[in-house]
Amino acid sequence: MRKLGMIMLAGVMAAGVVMAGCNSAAPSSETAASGGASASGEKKTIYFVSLKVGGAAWSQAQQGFEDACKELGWDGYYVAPTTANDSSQMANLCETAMTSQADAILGPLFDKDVFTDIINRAHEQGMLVGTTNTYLDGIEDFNIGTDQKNMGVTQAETLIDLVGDKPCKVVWMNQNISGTTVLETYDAFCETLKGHDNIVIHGIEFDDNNPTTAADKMNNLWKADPQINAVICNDSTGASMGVANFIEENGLQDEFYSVGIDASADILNYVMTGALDCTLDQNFYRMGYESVYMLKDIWDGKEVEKKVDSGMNRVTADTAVEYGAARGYEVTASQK
Amino acid sequence: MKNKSKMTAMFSRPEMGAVLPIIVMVVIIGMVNPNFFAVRNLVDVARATSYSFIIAAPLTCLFISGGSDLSVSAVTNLGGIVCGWAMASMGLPIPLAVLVTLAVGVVCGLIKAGIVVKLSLPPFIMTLGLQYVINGFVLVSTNGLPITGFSDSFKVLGQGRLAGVYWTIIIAVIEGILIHIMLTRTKFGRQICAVGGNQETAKLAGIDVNKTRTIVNVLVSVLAAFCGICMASRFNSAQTTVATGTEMTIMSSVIIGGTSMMGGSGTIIGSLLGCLLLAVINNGLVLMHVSSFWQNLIFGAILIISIIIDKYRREKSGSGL
Repeated sequence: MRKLGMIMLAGVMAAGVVMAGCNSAAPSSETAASGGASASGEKKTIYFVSLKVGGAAWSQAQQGFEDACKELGWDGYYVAPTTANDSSQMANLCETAMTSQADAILGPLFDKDVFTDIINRAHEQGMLVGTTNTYLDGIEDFNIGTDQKNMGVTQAETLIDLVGDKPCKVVWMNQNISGTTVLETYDAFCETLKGHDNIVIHGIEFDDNNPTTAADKMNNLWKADPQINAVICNDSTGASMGVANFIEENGLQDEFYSVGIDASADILNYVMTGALDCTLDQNFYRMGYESVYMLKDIWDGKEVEKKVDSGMNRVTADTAVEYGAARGYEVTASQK
Repeated sequence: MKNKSKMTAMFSRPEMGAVLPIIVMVVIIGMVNPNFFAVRNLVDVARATSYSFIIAAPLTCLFISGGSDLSVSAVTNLGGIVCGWAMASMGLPIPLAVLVTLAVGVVCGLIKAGIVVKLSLPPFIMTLGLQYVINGFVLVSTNGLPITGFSDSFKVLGQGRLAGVYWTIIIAVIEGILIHIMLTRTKFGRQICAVGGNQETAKLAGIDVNKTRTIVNVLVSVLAAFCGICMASRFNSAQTTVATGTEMTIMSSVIIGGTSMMGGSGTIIGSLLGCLLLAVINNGLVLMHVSSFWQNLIFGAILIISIIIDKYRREKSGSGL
């Protein structure tokens, strides 16, 4: 019993030391960025409630958010649920921000049903709420992110460029159906392809945010329907990696048309080797960075656009190395 | 009469719970899309099975010993990241990086055993906690970003083939045979069954229960870390969440294969068939052109029906659950 007591005491002390260390060292999942006085003369506390920690896309948003907070001398906390895309956990994190008397909440609040009440209560408390990459029909103070319709259009136009007049059957692969924004993109994609009779749409497939699932599913789809020769990826962790792996393993670089999404070192490597013809990077850094400055503009009394399209960059093998270097990624693969 | 008793004995084997649904699924899929039987497709099904089975085989031993482990997917994530870090950041050669990763697997297993075995805490919730800790560590240490920049020779393990068969399949088969022999032909295997059957009786029989449970826990973590290396090799990139969520699927395979969650009974062949069943379902639903919107529903329904059939079969054969 005494031994157990000693173990527990040691555990509590160790936890105390670790937590004290975390507070001073700023953990990656809840990172504080603070510095001098802000331009608006008042130090602000901002919570960025993300939908996941890490990943090719959201880690860039985190970087942008933290850089902006540091520049302005604000306290910025990047928080995310332990289970990716868990809207109820994200709602809890928003409420934590409200309880902590934060000045604003930013983040991909993707479900209008879940977040409407929270946003209303945050407004009543005098807080600002900005959404990133998910638009909630204007109940937020502002939105910055990829315009979902434009994304679908860009995907379709990229495919049309790649395919030309050749016959093509395309799979649209996504993590899952999380909110209406996904279908908005898909609808825009389908709409843009109308009139291009050489391109047939297979439909939506899910990869559960897992590259192995994406690779196996693509493999099976191709066997079930050998006419499939194109993929549009909508999930950087799952589809972009898994589809590229499928193409590379089967040596289909010259026969398959593949459009990835987002840009991390491994995705850019696949672009270099031709396993992905190109990738459409959603500019998550800009979402994280500019969302903070949009808050500042509002507090400075300036008007901000209600809905800002952060744009997409098409990265090909010719531009991948330079593009990666600008974002701190070392692209090691050579162009084939 | 003799034939009937042989049939009854065969029908009452725990692995039959997975065999019957596999036969039904194979027949249905084959009728809808004969391409299912193409060698290429069968190799792909075997490959999908192999990744799950590399972890399911030691997990079967753990279940038989009365344990459970929800941290396997997190250790798999960690395995890939450690191996990637050892090669890309430390510049270690591949064999050394693999050894470092397996050593980390041993450490994970010992920590898990320390919590679950030494402190006698419930494994289900404790390994769930450990899953969060390890996944958290992976994210903190990588900032959530994948590790890349490995040499092409690293791809051999995950992408390479021997006579058309992927190395992961060969490794899974060898591993399965070794663990099967350990479980059925060695004193240690009998000790695992005894510990899972009744710990007090096992203690009275002179078995070091804690040691047995610790070894099995370490075995699970080492092979989970190894699976992480295989996945990193397949994608030539160590992903932070590559195995997240797979723990429940792998545990389902073991249970479908007839291993009791209460401990004491189970077979490696059963777990192999359980993994195969899930791989066949995943493969078959796509080959049969089932819409993505329906796939989860059908997948879950088949699992439930499989367990119901197995329960009915056990009751009929008198083998109980």
